[in-house]
Amino acid sequence: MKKKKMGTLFTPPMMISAIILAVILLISIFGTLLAPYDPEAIDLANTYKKFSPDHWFGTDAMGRDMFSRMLCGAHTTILNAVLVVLFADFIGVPLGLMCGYKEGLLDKIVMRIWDILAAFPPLILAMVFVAIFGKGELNAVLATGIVFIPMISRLTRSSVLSEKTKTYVETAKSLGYTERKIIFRHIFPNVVPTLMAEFTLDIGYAIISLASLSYMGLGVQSPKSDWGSILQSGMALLFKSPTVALIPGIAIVITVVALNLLTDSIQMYLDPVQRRLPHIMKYKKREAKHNEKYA
Amino acid sequence: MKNMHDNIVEINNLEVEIISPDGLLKAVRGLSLNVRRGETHGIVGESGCGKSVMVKSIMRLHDESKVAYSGNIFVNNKNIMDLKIRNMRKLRGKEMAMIFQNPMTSLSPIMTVGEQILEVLTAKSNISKDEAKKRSLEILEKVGITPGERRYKQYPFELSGGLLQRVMIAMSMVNNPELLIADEPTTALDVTIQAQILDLMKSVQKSTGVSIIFITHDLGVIAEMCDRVSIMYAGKIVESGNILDIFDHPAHPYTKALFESKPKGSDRAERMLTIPGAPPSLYDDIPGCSFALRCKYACPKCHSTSPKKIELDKEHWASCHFSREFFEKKELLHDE
Amino acid sequence: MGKVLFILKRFITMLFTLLIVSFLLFMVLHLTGPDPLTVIIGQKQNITQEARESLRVQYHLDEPLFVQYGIWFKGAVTGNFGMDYIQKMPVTSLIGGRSAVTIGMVACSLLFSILIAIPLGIISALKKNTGVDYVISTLMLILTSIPGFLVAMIMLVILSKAIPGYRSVGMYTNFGEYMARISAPSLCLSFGNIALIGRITRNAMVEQLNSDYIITCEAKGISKRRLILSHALKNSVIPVFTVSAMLVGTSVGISVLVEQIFSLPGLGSLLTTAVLKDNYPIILALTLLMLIIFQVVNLIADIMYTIIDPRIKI
Repeated sequence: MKKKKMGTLFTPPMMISAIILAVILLISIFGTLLAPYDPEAIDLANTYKKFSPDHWFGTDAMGRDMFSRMLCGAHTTILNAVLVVLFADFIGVPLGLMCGYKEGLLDKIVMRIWDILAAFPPLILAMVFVAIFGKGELNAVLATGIVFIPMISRLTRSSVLSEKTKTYVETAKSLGYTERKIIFRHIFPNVVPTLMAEFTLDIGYAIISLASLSYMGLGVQSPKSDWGSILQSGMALLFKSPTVALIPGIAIVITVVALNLLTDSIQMYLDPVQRRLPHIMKYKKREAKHNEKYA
Repeated sequence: MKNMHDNIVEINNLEVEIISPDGLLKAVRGLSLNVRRGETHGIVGESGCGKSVMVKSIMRLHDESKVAYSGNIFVNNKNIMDLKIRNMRKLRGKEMAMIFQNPMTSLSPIMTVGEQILEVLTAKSNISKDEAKKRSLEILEKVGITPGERRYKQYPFELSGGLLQRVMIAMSMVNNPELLIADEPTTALDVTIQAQILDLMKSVQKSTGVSIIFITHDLGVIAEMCDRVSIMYAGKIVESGNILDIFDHPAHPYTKALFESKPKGSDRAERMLTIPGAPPSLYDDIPGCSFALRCKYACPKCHSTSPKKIELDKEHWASCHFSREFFEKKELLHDE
Repeated sequence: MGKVLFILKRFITMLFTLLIVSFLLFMVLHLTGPDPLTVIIGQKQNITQEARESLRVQYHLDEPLFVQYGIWFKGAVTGNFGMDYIQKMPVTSLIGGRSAVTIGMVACSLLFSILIAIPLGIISALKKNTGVDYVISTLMLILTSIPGFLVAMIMLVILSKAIPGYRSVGMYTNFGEYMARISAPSLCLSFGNIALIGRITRNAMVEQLNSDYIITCEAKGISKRRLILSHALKNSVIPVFTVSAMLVGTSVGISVLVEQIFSLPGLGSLLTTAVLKDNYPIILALTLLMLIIFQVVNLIADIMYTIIDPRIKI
């Protein structure tokens, strides 16, 4: 058979982003152990240090080692972002499954509430919830999570609606399976790929949202810090020592770019219309060369 | 001796390769075809045999970053493979036009049908907008869409499939092209509407003398519409000739199989082509005759050598090692 | 008149939403947050009991909560959102004085993003699978991943380094100054929007360019320009519009941060400080105002759809 799949899932951007994410994940798990200094240790003799072998990322206004702060910040940042999405998935996915499968009154009420929540600009909504719960790390996670629920349950619901019309669901129904079994054992596995792609994307959004809240002073409170709050502390020194703000900024961008790139590669691959194919002349040239080599 | 000016379309050894998510599709594989001026030439074949790819190539409608052509296509004695794409655009809609299988999706959903006809006129000639509108209304009435004034302002979603196919015909004929390509124009329509569209096409041809390439998988439609017919299989024409010659003396086992598979039922919609086995994948190279795997007459030679074109009669040829025997209705001598 | 009825219906739904949201928010803020009186008194906690009482009466805090909401609601209907807790100024005038910055910024950034993003999206779609497409797509991917406040920060550093006299603090006095103040922040807001609108434009265009009617257009032999602009693009406009309308909302959100960085006197900084200091009347009024803006923009988008696409009936 000469038939072969064109355009692979494992494109260079995909591989690069996967490697970057793996490294970031490792750092976020073991960051606290790897940190060479206590991230909160104030050392007024060594403030505003430049990059050096002693302090890889320099030190901030209070002489704290930026490298250690970043490593420990990674732990908080990534963990909280994952928590946000897990929390939103934990509530949003079952709700979406139920609403999509049963439709009816429950669906109407829930979707109506989501309509109201979706009418708010997301960041404002998160701020309103923080205003209600009070500022702080856990509350910021909770607030952001709530903002994500409508998005996730709507996505789940619409995937279920399209799955529901397929024959395997009809078959399961005709075999007299219980609703719960049909929903969770039959439909759910089929919507997982869509949800997985959404999961990586949402972690990126969660990182940005949480960082925004921390930046406004509504999220993680000192002495604990995440990339957003390090960024905020750097804002005051923006003109004196821009690296303090830039380092967490760059870290956030790299992480989110990698997450988006990964999601993008998966989605592009899954959609034949959007999938990138080589130009036919290039492809034929490459094939010819390949054939020559093995002729 | 016919001179080549009689041919509106002449395709020599055309090969078309398309890159797709599933691999490199060799949709057309060394195809040759002549269409005479003023005739209706039918192309028959199962779905996926490359019919649509071939006719789209005549207008160079494929995305050229995904498609590689080789061979020549002469339309009106111009080799369109040598033309720049912008010059090709000038020919389309003026010298040649095309109508498609699904009229419901073939028109822009957010533009009135009248505007879509008008657009062809204004793009091709320097006429005033009023004049163009007058001509558009005229042609709408001519293809039986009345009242033209009202229909002109309607959107595609407000018209039925039959009416939309009439709009497509009006749109393609508005500049009096010399060649009209119809890619299964009745497949998506109801049976009763099909007959009306076929009648319309016949009358359009009578009044304008346009040459038509008519693609279908319905032999009944071919018998009704065409002067000549070419049978296509796996990216090649396997037999070509006058309609009567082909129906009376099929010289290729695939053609024979097509006729045999035709159900005896009177309802034309039921006359689908069914031959045991599946056509070969056009992603693969096919050694020997492409039909050999499904052919009940195949011998070892068929699997190894691809057959040459055999001229059987004036304008009737087929490419099978045993065409002559089939043509003369002799029994085959080798073991089946 | 279907259209009038539709708008009326949407308007009523919006009012209903506002009613529910305002009630819930009012209740939740007052029930869960710190006591308003402590916020009102602020630093001067040692004031006399008498003054304390008079403040309590002045802010209707002596009434039951439901009555308080009733009083607030009666005022809100006439455009009076009460006094704020900290500056002791009418909320309406506080918001009025600051809305010009936010609205101008969001509008400018949206206009700017659409003007840049749509051509980029079209080019990317037309050059699908080529180097140009890869460059544009990657650039957009990176732009979507940069938080708005980071862009603002970097831009502020660059601007202050490049233009020594770059003023970034204080009020504006005339239109020229106003534009000068909001242009850089608008640009910051635009980056993310350019990326999102551009990506949507590209994907919609790719999808449209793959559809049957485009082949018909090709077969008709109309010019490439016409094919792209009056067919493919016109059919791609709806998703682009939907996203742009949604982006008004997110832009309002991000403007909160951008305003803070550029120390602009806009609604965003008002909201942030209000949330930080439990200034309920401002939180309440601003939330509702942003809700209204978002809903009105969506309504406008919905009406535009019916103009663009004859298939959509309302």
